[in-house]
Amino acid sequence: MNELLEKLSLAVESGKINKLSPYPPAMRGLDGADELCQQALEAGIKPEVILNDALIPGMGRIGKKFSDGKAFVPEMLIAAKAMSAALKHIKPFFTSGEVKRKGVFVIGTVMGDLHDIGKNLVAMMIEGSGWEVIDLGVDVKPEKFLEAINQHPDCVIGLSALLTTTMVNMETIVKQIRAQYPDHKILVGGAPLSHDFCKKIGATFYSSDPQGAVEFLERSVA
Amino acid sequence: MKTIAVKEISFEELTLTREDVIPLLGGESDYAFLMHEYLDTLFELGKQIFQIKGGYQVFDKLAFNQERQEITIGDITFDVKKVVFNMLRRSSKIAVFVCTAGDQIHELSRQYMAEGDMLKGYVYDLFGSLVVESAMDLVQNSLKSDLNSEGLTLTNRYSPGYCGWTVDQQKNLFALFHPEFDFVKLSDSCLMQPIKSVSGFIGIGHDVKYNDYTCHICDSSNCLYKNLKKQG
Repeated sequence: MNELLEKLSLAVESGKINKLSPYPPAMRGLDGADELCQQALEAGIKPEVILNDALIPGMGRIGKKFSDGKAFVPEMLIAAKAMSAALKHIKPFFTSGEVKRKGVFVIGTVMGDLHDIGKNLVAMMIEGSGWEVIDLGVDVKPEKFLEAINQHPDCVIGLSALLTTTMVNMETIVKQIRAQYPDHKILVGGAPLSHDFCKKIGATFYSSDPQGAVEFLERSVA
Repeated sequence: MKTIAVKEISFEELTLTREDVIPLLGGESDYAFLMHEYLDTLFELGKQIFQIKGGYQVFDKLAFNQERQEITIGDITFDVKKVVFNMLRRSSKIAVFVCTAGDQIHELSRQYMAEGDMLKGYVYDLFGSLVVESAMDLVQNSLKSDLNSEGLTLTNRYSPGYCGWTVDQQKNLFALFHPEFDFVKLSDSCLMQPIKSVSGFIGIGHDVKYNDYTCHICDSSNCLYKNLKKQG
């Protein structure tokens, strides 16, 4: 792989946001994701290649470490910040259509539930994997998800819940979506959930961690 | 022994230290200095940020149904499931507790997240969780001191949502409380408000015990300490 892309990928994985950012200490004074992405574009590397060969693999590696219990939440969040610093250079190409998003992912914490850390983590990881993410927030009612599907018919829906009392609201939301869109892709996640629960309520996929959600989406567009 | 105790707790009274927090944020890793910066602010501003209040109400009209693993307090029955039932079944009294760190820490956490600083928001959120647990330690210690003269001991704290005891049982738990405990409210979906609050049971008796380590009896996947164990 191009050396610049390798450095960029490592900067994202390590959470090296820009030259001024003091973290990680071993990369102090070096260019970060911000500068390296700019340099890659200036070197004539196509934005799509930067995205697919450097940014997404960098986030993927930190996501995998988290899934394996080898990284803590802060490391993921720092990496996501580095990813964002790089993505700001790529975003104009999304807007112009030169680089295509992989799709639209609509996420929300279900009605009755106000917990959002898990949802936010998933949203950041998925955005970092090349998707447009629409975050509906917390305490989201079925109508909001239906409205989002109306606006983005090919989107994938993500439902999050942290409590056993609110995960049952997922069933209501899934039922209402299925009534109008029987085959729509619906991803569910949250601490009390399981594959069995996902199957029972008729959702498409359950992931216990953000990386699993990213991999599901990758498969869904393959 | 007081049957009802409610107290406001100042941030300075807590025994929480940064050594309690850092391991949950990844330990003394490469990025620990960032965490220390946030913690410097939190420990400095703690007095202004937190509105801590907690208490307990002791009940002695108890009935235990071994077959159904249910505990009845007064006329309210709790389906506490096997683990919690076994830990509490020798209790002669049960203290029902609630404690909160107040609204502000959650609001600050969400504000930072909304501004795009997810990391700061996350650290504030986690700190709020640890503050309320630390405050509840004080409440529990106060109950313990109160009981020492009577030769009674306490169990660990057990809460709906953990060890198989379902969150919907919060409704029954809050139905037990004297109006003095209305500083924490419960939503229809059993979410406590302020969010950084804890509630549950503590068993009291001559034949109950406190376990220093209880992770092995709990199947919660939403617990900081369990995740720490997984990563350690």
